[in-house]
Amino acid sequence: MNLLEIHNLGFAFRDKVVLENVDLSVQVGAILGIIGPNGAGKTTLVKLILGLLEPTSGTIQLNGVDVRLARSRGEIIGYLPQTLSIDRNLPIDVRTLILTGLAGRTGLFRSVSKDDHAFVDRLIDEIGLKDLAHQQIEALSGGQLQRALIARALAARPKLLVLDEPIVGIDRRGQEEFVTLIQKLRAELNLTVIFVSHELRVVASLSDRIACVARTIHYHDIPQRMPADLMYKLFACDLATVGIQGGLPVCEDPNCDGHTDHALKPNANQNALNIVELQPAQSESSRPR
Amino acid sequence: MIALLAFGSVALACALLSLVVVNRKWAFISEGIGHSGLGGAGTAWILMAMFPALVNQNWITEIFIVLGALTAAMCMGILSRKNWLSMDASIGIFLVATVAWGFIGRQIYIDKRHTEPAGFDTILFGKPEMISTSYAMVCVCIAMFVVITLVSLRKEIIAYCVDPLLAETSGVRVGLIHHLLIVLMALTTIVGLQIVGSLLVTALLVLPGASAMLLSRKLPMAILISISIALIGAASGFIAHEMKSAIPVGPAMVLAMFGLFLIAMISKKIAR
Repeated sequence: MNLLEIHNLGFAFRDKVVLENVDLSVQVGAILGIIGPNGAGKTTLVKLILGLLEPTSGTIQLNGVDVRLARSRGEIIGYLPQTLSIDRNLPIDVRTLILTGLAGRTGLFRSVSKDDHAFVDRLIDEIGLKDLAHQQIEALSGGQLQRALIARALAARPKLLVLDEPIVGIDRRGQEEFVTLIQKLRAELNLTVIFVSHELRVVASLSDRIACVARTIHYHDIPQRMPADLMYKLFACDLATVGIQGGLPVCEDPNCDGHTDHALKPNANQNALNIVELQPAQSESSRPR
Repeated sequence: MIALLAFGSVALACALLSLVVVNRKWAFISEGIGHSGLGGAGTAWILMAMFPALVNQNWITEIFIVLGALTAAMCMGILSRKNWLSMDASIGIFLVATVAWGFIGRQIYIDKRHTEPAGFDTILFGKPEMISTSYAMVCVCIAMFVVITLVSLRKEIIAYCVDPLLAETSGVRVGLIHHLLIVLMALTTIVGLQIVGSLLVTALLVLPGASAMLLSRKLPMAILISISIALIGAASGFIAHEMKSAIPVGPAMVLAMFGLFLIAMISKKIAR
């Protein structure tokens, strides 16, 4: 059963087509990794899924209902944004920050219920910030703040959690901790997760399926089946940054800005596929299809 | 006593809104709203220049000041909310346009009636000695409205202050909260005009919150400190004027709050 279904989605900003003919589905309880080069429309796709933008064409349905209608009916999608733009000078503690995730669900002029307070305490425990619950947010490290914002995104008990580039600037150990945390939360809260990232290794290790976005969907299947030539085509200028060492054909385009969809190079690097398979999160047979 | 009641009410409303103003970096919005009152008054003065029967009808000027300030505030709020312009740019645009309109209205009135229009000095510098009982009651009502709204919608307002985009994805009606805060600021600024004038009204909406954020990193304590600073500032300005009538109340209030801000800054430095 699909929680999210996207059909023939298109979005244009003024005259510029950002996304077209996007078809995508996410099963209940699955983790979908979305990858693609910079400027490919990943964040736009996330904003469309969140109902923050209106599609130029096509539909996005959450549990069979148009996502914007679902939002207006009180359906909440958990969201961790690309940049942690929150004002750390705000004089609030971690628990209050997490409680703000309930503001919409609770409704105007109503207080947060005891049940919701208990759930927030459980979340604080799950994300490992119990000792910092009453610490001011300005005292948190970047990683701690990120975990607090994940808990904030989950406070309203959403069925779907969307993580937009959550591991940018995080070292390898931090990435592994992040993967463990998301897998744990997914299992305990029966979450469906959409995970947008540039880090192919992490996306592959965390996701049941991946979708390659560059204006449209170029691939939508399990990570292990992703063709190396497609990966090279999409990430010609980015592969070196994701850990492939030596023997990597260098992009020969003198005008390369690292962000564009490059022409496919024959005999492209086969290591790309190995990187995807580096750290599978679980055996293929146990993954939801 | 009536004046003190008005000062206290406006100070209380400003103190609470001040924390939002400092957090959202809206420090100059009250300046923009206050000066937009001048634009509204300019329209009234043009009407008075055209229709002699309206001359000396001060209520007309007051209505146009309120309309001008509220209209400009809403326009600033809508432009910034829709991301057509930053709040900073929209304040700048409406501030200069309404001030220019106000000065044109004043000049047309002077050319026609050969005298300064009533209310010009009041808008710029305030006239707290002219505060009436009904004006004080309006101040009390607006302060109560501000307090009740902020307390009732505290979780939505905190969510909005943390990050409007995150608040929106959490189901908060961010547009409603944004415009409501702008309206509260506009109403508070408008009643503050007669006390300190449009040139200094920003101080009431910035200094208490900025000082409180220096002294405490806990929201309940920051609110208490902000209220205390605003009330002490208001009382100090009033007492200074009572002791020496040459000292105007509005500027004395602002300077007292500035003094408290300096003390807060030094205290923070020492505490480090």
